[in-house]
Amino acid sequence: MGRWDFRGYARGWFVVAFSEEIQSGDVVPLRYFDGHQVLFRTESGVVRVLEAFCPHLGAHLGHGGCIQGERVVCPFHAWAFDTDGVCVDIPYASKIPKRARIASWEVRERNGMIMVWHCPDGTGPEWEIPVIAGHDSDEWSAWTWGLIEVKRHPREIVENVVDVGHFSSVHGTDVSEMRNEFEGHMATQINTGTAYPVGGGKDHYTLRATYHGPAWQLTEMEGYLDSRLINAHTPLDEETLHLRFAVSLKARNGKPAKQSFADGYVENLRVGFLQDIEIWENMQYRDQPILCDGDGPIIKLRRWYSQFYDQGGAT
Amino acid sequence: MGQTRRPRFPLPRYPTGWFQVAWSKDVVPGKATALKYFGKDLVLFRDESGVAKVLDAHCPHMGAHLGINSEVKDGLIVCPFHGWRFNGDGECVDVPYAQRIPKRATVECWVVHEVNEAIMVWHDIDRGPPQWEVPTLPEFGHEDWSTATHRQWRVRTHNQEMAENMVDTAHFKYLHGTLNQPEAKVDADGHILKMTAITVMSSPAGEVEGNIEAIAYGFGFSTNRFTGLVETLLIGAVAPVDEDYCDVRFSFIVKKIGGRSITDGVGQAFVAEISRQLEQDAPVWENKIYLERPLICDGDGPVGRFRVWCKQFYPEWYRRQAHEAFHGEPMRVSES
Repeated sequence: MGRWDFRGYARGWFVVAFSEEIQSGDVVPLRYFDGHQVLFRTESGVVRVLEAFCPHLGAHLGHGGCIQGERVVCPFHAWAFDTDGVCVDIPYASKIPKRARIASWEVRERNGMIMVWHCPDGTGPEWEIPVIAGHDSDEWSAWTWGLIEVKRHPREIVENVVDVGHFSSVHGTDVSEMRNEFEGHMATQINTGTAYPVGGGKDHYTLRATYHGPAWQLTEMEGYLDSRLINAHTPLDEETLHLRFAVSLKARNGKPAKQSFADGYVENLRVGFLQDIEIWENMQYRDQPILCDGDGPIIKLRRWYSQFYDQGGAT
Repeated sequence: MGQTRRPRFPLPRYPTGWFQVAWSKDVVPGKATALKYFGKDLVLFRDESGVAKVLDAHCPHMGAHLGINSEVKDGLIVCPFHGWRFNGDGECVDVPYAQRIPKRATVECWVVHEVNEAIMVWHDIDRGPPQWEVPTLPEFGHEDWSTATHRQWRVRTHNQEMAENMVDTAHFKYLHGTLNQPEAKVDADGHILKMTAITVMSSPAGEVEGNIEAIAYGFGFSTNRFTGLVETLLIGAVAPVDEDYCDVRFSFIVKKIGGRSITDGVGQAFVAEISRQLEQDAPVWENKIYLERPLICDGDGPVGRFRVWCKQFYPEWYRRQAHEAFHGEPMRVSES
């Protein structure tokens, strides 16, 4: 074992879906953290995540289960569970067994995203993901988003936040200034420079990108267009993760940004991530990397990131 | 890191019993069929006298598959690679270019019983001889009964999970929408499990009350007799393909009413209804887990008694091995 021990899964908030993906009455399977869960939205619009399997005979609620009012109903024998996972009806039994309940996840639906709190020892949330001001207003466009499945440990995605060196060599961006601030569960990068979008031209930008915990990053960028980006990842297992990225653009002079801009933006991000991914998927993690004086504070970042691992990270 | 995948079920994968691997009509003289069951590559063909034979598929010479692009000549299967010939007992009887046939030139031969228009194979992980026989059903070939209609599916599940359906009376109403929850009587006797029930199903002719008598002979073969609107015999045959999948085969035959056969409306509607039920079960089976301690409530069928009956189809060592592979630790005395 090396100096850093990032086994298992970090503690924090993880995006499991965008709100628009889950309508009232939807019941869908999830497979995060090497497990199986079921995500659903009740008739009144409440979103919940439960462990997937019915305690009765083991059926997966996310494959054929349905919503009745505020309950999710197992497809096999119609046992009905409330939003806390407590069995409240067995249509053919006179008595509900005491143990008839399913473990539930702490869920937040915020900023058009559905997130779960993951903590290996079951401890509740230690912080919250902030509400993004105006995200629901006409001033900011709805999220345009993408998802990529990546075969890599999440730390490589997080290290991008401080890795100034890779911007020019991988993404063709000129970074004129970059600094990083670490405070509690937050890690922020402030970065100014010039980007060269795929569509051509030049874009002078200033950005502030903050990780709120290990897996959810909001970037606010001022440039030709003011924009907000979300970069969120959620592990499926210890080798695979879902990387979600989303863009929201600010209206200019009272006119909403064109959807084609957002689409192009997300495409740029996808290309950018795919450039990173090609490196991530083929690299070897260096526990004690050889750093040069122009590199960002990778070791500081690793120390910050290690707080989300129960083993304490640094050993 | 050299770790083997944790199996999906805490149960041995390949139980003891008779399992259908093909329908008789699909095995024509002169042609070999490649099969995969019990996690093994097999070859099926008819010998000179038309008797169905099942052998391990790989030629002991250089490992070619005897069921792929091979020929059956004079009831002998001819390896496509070098022309070695094997009889129905798996013995090499001819190497066309050699003076002498090596002694070890044999392939494993399986116990086969062709009955009820199906090819049944006996499987026992310890390679013991058959402990019971598949009954010859008098309805087959009887003038009062129709010819068989066949249906087949491949489902990602375990034999025991599918067999458990029979005693799981509650799911009929809530998954399949039968109009009542059948009152079932279940008796176990050796390898046979018998269930009788009264059920109400909707049909084109309205609500129909019917009797079901289901008899399972181990996990691989069951007869299901329905009486009510129309007298029907359904054979359910389930064979384990590999670590993940089972093949399910249904044969339906219907008692003729005034000379009408299963091609008529009622028989067809029945086939469609039972097939619909199977297709509702399949997504549940494919995605569920097996709970060793299920949470049974007062209205459930006798799942516990069923699971005790199941143990006889796995040798003790095999159950311990499966338990350890699933849990990562040996089975305790209280769990055996």
